[in-house]
Amino acid sequence: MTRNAALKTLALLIAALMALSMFSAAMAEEFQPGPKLGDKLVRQALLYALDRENFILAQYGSTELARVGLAPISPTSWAFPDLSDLNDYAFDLDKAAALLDEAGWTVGEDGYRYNADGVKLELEWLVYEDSPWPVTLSSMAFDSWKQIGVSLLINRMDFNTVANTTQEPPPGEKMFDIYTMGFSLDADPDPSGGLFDYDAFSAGGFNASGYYNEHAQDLIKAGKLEFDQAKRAAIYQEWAKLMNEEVPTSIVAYRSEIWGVNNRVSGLDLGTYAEWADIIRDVTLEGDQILKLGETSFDGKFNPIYSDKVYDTWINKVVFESPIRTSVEGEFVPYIADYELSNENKTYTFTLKEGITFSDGVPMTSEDFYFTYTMIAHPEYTGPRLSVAMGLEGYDEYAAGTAETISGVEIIDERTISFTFKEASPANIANFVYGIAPKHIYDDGTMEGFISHNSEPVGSGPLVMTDYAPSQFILLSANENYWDPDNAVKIDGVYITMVPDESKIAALELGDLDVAMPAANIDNLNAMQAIGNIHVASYLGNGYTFMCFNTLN
Amino acid sequence: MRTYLARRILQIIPVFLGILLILFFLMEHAPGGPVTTMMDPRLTAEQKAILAERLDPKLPIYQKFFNWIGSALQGNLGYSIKHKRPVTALLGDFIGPTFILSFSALILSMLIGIPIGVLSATRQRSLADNAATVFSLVGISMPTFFFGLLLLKFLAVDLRLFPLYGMRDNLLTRNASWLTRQLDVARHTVLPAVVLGLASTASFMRYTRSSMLEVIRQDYIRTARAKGLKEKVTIYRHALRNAIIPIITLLGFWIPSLLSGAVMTETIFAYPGLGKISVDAVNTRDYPVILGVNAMLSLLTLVGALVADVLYAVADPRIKYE
Amino acid sequence: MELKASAALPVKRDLRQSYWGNVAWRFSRNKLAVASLITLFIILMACIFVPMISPYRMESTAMYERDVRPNATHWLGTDKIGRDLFTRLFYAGRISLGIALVVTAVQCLIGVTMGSLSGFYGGVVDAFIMRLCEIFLSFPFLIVCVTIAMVFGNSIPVLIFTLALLSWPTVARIVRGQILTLREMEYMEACEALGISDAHRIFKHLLPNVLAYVIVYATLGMASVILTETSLSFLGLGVSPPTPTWGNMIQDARDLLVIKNKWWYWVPPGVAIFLSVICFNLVGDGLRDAIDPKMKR
Repeated sequence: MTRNAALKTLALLIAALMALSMFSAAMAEEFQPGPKLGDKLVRQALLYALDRENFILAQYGSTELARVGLAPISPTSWAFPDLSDLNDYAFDLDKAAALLDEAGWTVGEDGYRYNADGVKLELEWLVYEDSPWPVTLSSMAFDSWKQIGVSLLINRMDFNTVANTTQEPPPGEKMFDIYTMGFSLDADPDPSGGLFDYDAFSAGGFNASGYYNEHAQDLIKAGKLEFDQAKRAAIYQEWAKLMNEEVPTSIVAYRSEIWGVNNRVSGLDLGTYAEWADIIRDVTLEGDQILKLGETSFDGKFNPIYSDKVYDTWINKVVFESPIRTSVEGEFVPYIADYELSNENKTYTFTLKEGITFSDGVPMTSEDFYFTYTMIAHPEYTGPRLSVAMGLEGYDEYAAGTAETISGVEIIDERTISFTFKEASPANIANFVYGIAPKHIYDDGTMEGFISHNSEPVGSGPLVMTDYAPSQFILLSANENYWDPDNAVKIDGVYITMVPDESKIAALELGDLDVAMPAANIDNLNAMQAIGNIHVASYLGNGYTFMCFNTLN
Repeated sequence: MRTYLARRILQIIPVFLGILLILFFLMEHAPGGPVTTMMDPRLTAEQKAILAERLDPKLPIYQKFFNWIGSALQGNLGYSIKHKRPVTALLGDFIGPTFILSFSALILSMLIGIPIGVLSATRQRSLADNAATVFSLVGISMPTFFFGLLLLKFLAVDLRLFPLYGMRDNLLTRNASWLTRQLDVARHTVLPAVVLGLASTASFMRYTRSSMLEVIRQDYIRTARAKGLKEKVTIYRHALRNAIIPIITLLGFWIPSLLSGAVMTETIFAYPGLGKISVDAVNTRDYPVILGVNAMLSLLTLVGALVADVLYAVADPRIKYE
Repeated sequence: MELKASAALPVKRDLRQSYWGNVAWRFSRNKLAVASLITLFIILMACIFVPMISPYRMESTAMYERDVRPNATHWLGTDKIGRDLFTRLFYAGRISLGIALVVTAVQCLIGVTMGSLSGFYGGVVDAFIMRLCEIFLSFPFLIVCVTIAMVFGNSIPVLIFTLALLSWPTVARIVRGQILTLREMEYMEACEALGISDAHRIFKHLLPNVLAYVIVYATLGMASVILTETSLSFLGLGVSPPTPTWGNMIQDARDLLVIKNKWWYWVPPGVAIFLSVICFNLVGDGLRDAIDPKMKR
């Protein structure tokens, strides 16, 4: 071997060795819990030193509007544990101080705590002002935590920047100690991909706390695969208790939603899981047969696979009909299709009910079902339902271009279609709550053509959209060609106007609106209760506000 | 004149391109993107990355810039990420109310400002003049949003004379006649137009007054009076006509100013115009809309200035541009 | 009797003979302007010395005294989380007035520099700077502020930068105009003939004359910046809570219930803004009249 060749080989070997060591170091690197928030005792102490009861009274004005948060499952869900099993971390400064002492943090001369290595117990909290409650909570924490020797730095910014700073950076580079935000849940309690799932702790993922607990991860995986609801409930209850004990992220509060309803409206059964598709059919009115609803804003995306605003989704739920919907108890039940499981629970075979027609009279077939749901897999799809398509078998080949169609979706006959998923999970059924759009109107071969119908939706539901002015109003009228006349709406239509949140109550009082949902705070509640011609409906919302601890710090 | 026009138009182009380039630069460096604002808990990081690439492809900035200019020249301003509609359609829907609001404010300020300015100039030191001076001072010193809130409280909330929000009372007028519907819009536009027009009214008043004062001191006015012409004729036919001329230049300033100023007023009165759309677009990082609105308003500002200068030349034969 | 040389007689120094003395004297004759100056001074003192006047801290919350109407202990009441509004009003004044001061200073600095260069050198430099001015003046104001806040974050330095950036062209144009006029005057030609350097000519001869106009503009500019900053803060695009400014204290009033029932949240800051702006305008007008009585309004 020549000298040059030998040197080159040596250089190559050294490079390879370095690469290998870096690689193995990366593999071996586990994110270690940090000295401050990585310690469970510290997190618990911080919670004991936060007067959440008083915060709720200050921010919302009454416990009717919000309750102290306990575990990351909605109290209305079937998976919620027994209250006696959960710790509510009632305000107790002495206990908090004792826990910090136990964790090895002693009070220094300046009144703040230091540990044995001289690290100061100082935390940075990212607060956004778009909603008032993070400001209130952090201001309170500032005062009460100071009393137990914790220094709090409050960093103000806007909502998007907080979301960005906590989600976008890769693990280990997330620059914050604490942040607060709200989170809305689905009817299915599966926590995968959310705040508490370690698999979601990545660049762009939802989990920013970095907390790793093998048992918790096992429980999450087990719950996703268990089809027996009683056993599944037990799994989630155990998981919720564990999260309540470890609090890598604390649930701050469960908020309620309040509605003002004019007394001329009967049959409006609002609830946590109640869906408009159900509610609207029982409504009867005295006087003018058009129900007047006030919404804060609508985007105009009246498309079942594209809508991402609550208000747009309400409309989609009554103009379109979906195979499955949520029941009042929060479970998934058949709506316009029945289904059967097979193939180790990976395949769902749906059979559409007989006689379903769209509002223009054309019958609904499994072609429409196929069309609507496979549009999600279209390479130009930019809506929020990607996960529906990505879980299907054959999606990867279709997305890569090596397959013409998705092998997991098969039309069996005019009313039957089957969907096969890569993995069996009871949560898969949740993918079918999106309405079916008529292929003969929406399909022109392009995504552009598909979304051009966004502001003129045509579906099979009990209401049709007859008039729409962007940002002003929407008029829904009863579908005269509704295929199921026994279940049609009893009123003539719904008139939805854009009303800014602060004017909703005034509009209710004047009778301009029949139904509206103002912000849930004590002033609004009192104002509505004082109005004679309306009554107030309230229920616990399906979501919570949380406070996330960066356990790597 | 024609060469002047051509020159000015040519000058507008680099300025406009400069503005666009700066805007593009700002967008590139904005933290977060349209996908972060789509806070769906079920999206994994992988899915977000896919969506991000589809919504905002990672091209070099100059390529993006030329693409945008190219399609803009063909009338395509892209698709709104949030609304999933063409930006031109979105602008078309919402520019109407903003125009109505701005022009109402402009007409109002001219109808009130100019006559009072004339009055103030012809009856100097009188009560009317002093009152007008006070009013104009208040007008330019009062923060618009505070004034809006005050009017809202006293006239809309307490006295219930005007509606609280919006541009139309959709419920009341959905089956009414065309006239009723227009009157309803007018009723909804009064408060926002008054609020928006406060500063411009004061400005017109001040400007008219000083312009009139200058004209009145001219010799030809003395001649007119000496000729025995009636005072009214002197004032209105001779003085006013000449005094109006510099006021036309104010239009070039106020028209774009009112269009952008409408953002504030639309927020307070929930008037469904461009203001709301732009603020929303920024909050959701909807780049095509932000670019579209900014580009349009900048262009209008530049064109407005040009139009004002041209009108000035047309109105005053003494002015010659070459 | 011989007339002795006047040098022997004591000469009374008459203030009226100096330029600024003259201005000051004329200004003092304008009662409205003087009253405004005094008012501004009082506001400024109150803002600076608020910790001595008020026992409350700007951010201390008092959960049991929320939403209290103005009374003896809380002169302007308390807000939703129990903070004393009188204290916050004057701390907010510090921020609003402070921002206005810095923005005006920066804007004048940039504007005077650019305007002098433009007016003095003319030609290509002038054309370029004027185009730059046009660009900045043509930006739709509010939307650009919003866009910049989005990119660089919502902080006070960013706000100052944005406001200064969008308003220096006006100063530059004024300065340029003045310099163009003065440049042609004979004594400038004499300077050039004498070989005095450019910088010397700019600084010692042209600028002092321009200074007076810049000062007038700066005072009026303060009023304008206060209005802009408070408007942006009201929209949530300027300074963000809990750092109070007069603008974001009024933010709460976007709720109709607050407008109806809780006037003490939003009326005092609004009045404070109005008062300061009007005073700055009056002082500016007074200065303008004092400097050049022939200058048209």
